[in-house]
Amino acid sequence: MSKTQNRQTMKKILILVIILFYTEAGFATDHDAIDIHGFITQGYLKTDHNDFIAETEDGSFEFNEMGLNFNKRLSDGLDFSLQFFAYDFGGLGNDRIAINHAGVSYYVNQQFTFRAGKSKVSYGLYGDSRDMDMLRTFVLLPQGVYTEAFRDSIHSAKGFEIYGSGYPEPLKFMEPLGEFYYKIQYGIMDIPKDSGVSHVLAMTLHTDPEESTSDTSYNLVLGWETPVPGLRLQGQYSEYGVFLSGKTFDDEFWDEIKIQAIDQLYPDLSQDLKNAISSAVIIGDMPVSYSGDVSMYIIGAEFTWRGLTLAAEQVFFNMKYKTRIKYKAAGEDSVFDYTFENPTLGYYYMGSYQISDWLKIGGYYTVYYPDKDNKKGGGGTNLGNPDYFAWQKDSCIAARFDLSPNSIFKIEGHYIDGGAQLDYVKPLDDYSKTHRYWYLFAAKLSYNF
Amino acid sequence: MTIVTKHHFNAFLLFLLLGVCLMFPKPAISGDPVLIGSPDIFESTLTKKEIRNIYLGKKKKWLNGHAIKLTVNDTPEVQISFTSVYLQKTPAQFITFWKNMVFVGQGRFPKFFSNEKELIDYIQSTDGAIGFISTDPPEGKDVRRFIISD
Repeated sequence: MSKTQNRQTMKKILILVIILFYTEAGFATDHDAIDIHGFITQGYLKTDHNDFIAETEDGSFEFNEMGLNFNKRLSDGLDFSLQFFAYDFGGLGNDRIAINHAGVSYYVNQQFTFRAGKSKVSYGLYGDSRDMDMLRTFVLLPQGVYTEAFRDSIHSAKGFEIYGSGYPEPLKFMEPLGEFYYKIQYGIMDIPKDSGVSHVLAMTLHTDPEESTSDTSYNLVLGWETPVPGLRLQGQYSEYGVFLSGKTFDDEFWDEIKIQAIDQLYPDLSQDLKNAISSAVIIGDMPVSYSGDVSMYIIGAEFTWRGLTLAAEQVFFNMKYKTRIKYKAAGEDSVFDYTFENPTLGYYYMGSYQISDWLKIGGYYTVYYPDKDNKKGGGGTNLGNPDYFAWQKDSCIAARFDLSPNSIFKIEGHYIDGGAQLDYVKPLDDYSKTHRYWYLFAAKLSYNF
Repeated sequence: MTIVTKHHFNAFLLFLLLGVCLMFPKPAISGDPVLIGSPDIFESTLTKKEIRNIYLGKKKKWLNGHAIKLTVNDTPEVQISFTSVYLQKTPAQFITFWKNMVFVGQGRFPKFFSNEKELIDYIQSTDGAIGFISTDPPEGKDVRRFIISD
């Protein structure tokens, strides 16, 4: 870290400590006034090997969040909310202040609420609340499902949403079956070139990104609070369009694509001629563009009983892109089109227990495969990388201390096998310098009011 | 093989830890609290499910169209009893739930009272307000005492 960064970090810590010890603000509300709430966090990450998003091998304080929330009841059933949010996690966020959500919602009845504006995007059981550290036991959510690199783009979307729960009057007889809830979101997520999603797509596609835009997305959530007290099940399907363009890397992945392309373009040539063409074509730095959809399914279950919470979720992403590579053949501009498909799988099992008012402990085990059809490495999008970049398996134990109703301190340790997400935010110069097995320590102090 | 053993060992440790924690005693729960509401509210009976839906922000309007204004009695024993009986949550889980609602933009935080007399006065004077107290409201207070049904 530079001296300037150190000074900024120390300032943040100082402000946090002052707030923690010299204020007694709490969650209070006046039903007709504008409610103001907020939070600020400062974390620390340290790994024994490998840099995880920030420069964690040397220890990093580039891990903080702050949010300020305003909400007001405009009339019976009509509510307004606005939240500013900024965060820093290595190359992500960089403390830029953004509107986390801003909109007006109209409650018609329990089965139907309409909201327009910028809304938090539902993602699994805990995705819409991931920016709020005080709401969970862990510093880091299980990365197999809640990949940190995706956070900046998919946490909110402009558009509208409708949601509700329970049964309308004619269906009240179904109440013994438990309660169903739903949410439908339709809008557009911001996926700029420097976003985590764009970067992950680029790394997966071995491409240096130059431009990225997004298309309309939709998100459907259906949940069931079962007749078993505390047990809920949830399923989700969403789809969003992304366009990405850039330049190809000069690596084994594109070498393989080149061979496939030559086979496709010149099926009748002899193998010797194909080899001759292949060796004459330089694959690096060729303009390439991707246009297509990312579809996603998430299924999850959560069980709470007194202070105990157990949860498990599985996410399945499928990227399907029309890919166009521009190249010169005999001095003429030519293009090669093909369809690229990459299925991704992640899941976790998690448990936590509230031991006392001030202490909660928990643990989870999470797994992530960037290419579900290539779990052992050595092929697909992992071509050219060490095999252990084909997976990431993380075991975590954590403790949360509620120092006061508004301030929280957390510590947790991770033992990780694999490095699938090591290049998701910070490009790696030399993959051979990474380690397959590594430990991550995280600590975080937070305050909310 | 070594890797599998390590992960299994970690999972075993986790569940062992949770098992030990389950043996910790929980605070005693007192009698059911009394639900009261402002005099303008039409409803006189609430089911346990309705109370749960109201306090979890799912039901937000009364039959007369007024917005439901939630209050919470901050006296620990009453709060533990209420959240346990009607919401199947601990007070900490209940507060976390509402912080979640506020910060994702789907609700407004309930109004907390550490003094029961102030809570009763507030409910008496605020249209659409609902709250819970430890015993029947004092005579002379113009508040609705809800009948609770299953």
